[in-house]
Amino acid sequence: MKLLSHYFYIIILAPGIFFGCAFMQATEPRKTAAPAPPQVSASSQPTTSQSYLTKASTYETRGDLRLALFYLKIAVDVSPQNKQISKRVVDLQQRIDANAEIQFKAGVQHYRDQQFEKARQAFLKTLLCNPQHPEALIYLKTRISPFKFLAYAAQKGEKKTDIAEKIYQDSGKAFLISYFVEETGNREILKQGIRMELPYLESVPVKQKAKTAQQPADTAPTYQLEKSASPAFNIQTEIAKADGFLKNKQYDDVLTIADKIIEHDNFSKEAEGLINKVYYQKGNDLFEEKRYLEARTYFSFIDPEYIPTEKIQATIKDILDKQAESHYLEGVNYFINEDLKNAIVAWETVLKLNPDHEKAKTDIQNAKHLLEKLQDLE
Amino acid sequence: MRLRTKTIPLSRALILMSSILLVACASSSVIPPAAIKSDAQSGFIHEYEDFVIVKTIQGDSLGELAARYLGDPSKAWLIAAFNDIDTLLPGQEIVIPLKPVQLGGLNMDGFQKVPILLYHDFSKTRSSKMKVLESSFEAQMRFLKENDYHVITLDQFLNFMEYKEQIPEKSVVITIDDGWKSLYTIAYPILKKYNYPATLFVYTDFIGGNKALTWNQIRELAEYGFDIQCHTKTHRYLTKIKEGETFKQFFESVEKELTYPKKLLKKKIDRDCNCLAYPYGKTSSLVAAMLKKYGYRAAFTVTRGGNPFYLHNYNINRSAIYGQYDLEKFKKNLDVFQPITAE
Repeated sequence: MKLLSHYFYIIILAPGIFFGCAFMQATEPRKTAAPAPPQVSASSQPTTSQSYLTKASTYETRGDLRLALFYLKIAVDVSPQNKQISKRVVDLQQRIDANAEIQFKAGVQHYRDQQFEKARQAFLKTLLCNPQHPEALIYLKTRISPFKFLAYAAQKGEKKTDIAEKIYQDSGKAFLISYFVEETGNREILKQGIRMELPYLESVPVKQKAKTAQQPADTAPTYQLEKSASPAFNIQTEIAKADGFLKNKQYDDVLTIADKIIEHDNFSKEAEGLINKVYYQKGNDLFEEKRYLEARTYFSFIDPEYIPTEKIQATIKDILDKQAESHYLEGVNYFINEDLKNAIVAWETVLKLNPDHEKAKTDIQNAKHLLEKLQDLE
Repeated sequence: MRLRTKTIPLSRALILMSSILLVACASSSVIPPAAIKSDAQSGFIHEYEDFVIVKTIQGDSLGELAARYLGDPSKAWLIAAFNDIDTLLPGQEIVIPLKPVQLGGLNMDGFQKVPILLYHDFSKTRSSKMKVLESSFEAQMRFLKENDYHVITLDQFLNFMEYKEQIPEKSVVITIDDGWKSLYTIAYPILKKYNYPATLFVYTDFIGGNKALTWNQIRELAEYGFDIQCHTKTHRYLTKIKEGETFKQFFESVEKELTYPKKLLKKKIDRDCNCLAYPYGKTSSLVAAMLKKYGYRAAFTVTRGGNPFYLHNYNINRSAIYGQYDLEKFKKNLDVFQPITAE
């Protein structure tokens, strides 16, 4: 729990006793800037509690007791003389607290049973009832965690090398004990009872008995590794499947497999290779269908470190430049024949094929300018 | 939810006290009424410790009210969301909660998730897996703007993760790894255009190299508002022992990877680094324990998916955006909500 203290700012609910009747009240200083000083105004109109009561009832019906309570409390503030609302606040608060405890206990039970997803859901429901439930937060945020630590208390006369041997089966890792124990000085024999949280070394087997038998009852393991729900994943099997899909031009299926591999390893060279192969084959298919613009897009996606595409890209550029030139001349003909709209369309096609065609850019501007002038004259 | 005492005149307080005495045990939760305060600028206001009720007048705006009562005009969304409104109308009675009412974005239907987008390198002409085209980046940022996503700072995100602060429903964080020069020449102008904050994770041995940012550029980015954080010293795997390396040498090397960039960033740009992006997104219990020892606040993987508040702070997800992504693929990385499973 000490480990977690810096994660949370927990509002402490301080019990207040007033004339023998105990009640709990949240206390937290107001953090926001104070409003401007009020001015005297005859137009000031008090509000009523009715609209807030209605909202409270709506939320209560929907099962959102926390918001229902919020609006009920507003209604109390607006109409403090109304004892019925005050009683509703007390009743609702009691219901919420009871629900929170039921959910929390269920969460703890699921956690003990190592049903971590169910535990998480129960702790979330606890927080829905009581957003400041500190223990539910600790379970959610740190106990259900991918990191594994061993809580350990040094025994009488125990050396760092003994603990390293016990925990890591390697007395040479005594430096890790020194590193994590945070005891001042450099004593070889640790003070009896001194506690430490030692990381599990994922690649080093840990003695099972060290995890359980050596721990005092109140320092039971605070961390658990969540069980993976996903079945074993074999990259080679996936790649073999992807190769089959590639042959059959089932490109979307190949990309799905690549995505799956990336989910396991974001920097997978195999996945990157598959993606590049898809773009290369798709580019070639489009090239053969003479859909050069689309082919150019796919080839531009390819990482040259995987497949060099300079030659084919240069070929496509030549073809597209020629097509662009032909459309440019078509535009000039329209222009000469005073068909400005079609001239613009033709030159815009030029720019799709060759975005660097400067003459087409200038001519489009000129034609648009002329068109505007003609429209003004009309 | 008690009235702030400074607003109660003494005579009124005495009357209230005697009323409370009369009903003490029967109604222990009775709270004194608010001083009804009129405000020439804003109709009337009722101030309480947990909320304010305002009746709006002509000319009121959500931003002004947020500035006045929440101390920050950018929190206008909070008032809008709580009252389920987009704009204010004169005479509208609205409630402004002064404390977070939905920490962790948790409600009856489910909980909020915050996607963190991860970029590396950018190019004006040619994309690859790690290199995003300028035009694609521009289109992605435009998509966020046009679809009402809020790009928040890393600090706002961590306050959300630590259950301290509410953030807008469609919040997104932008991070950029390594420190490629193209961040300065391509991404920076686009982020400036959209006024989006971003976090740069640098591995310090890379900085000053041929294709990398210079320290002067990093300083400029920091002064503009970029959050500059650590991505280790050399970008080595923190989870793999190199061939011929003993465990102790490995441990000392990892220690250096975590401590050296902190010191260097402090020295070079006078910024405290308290977050780490794991090289290749890989971590272990040992690394997590070391991060804690060095006071790191959070650490980031490259596991795809949005972040619910309950994730461990040293295991935060990020979704890498690759050069080949079209907008459809980009959108798939913007998952902002998850229903709670019904039982």
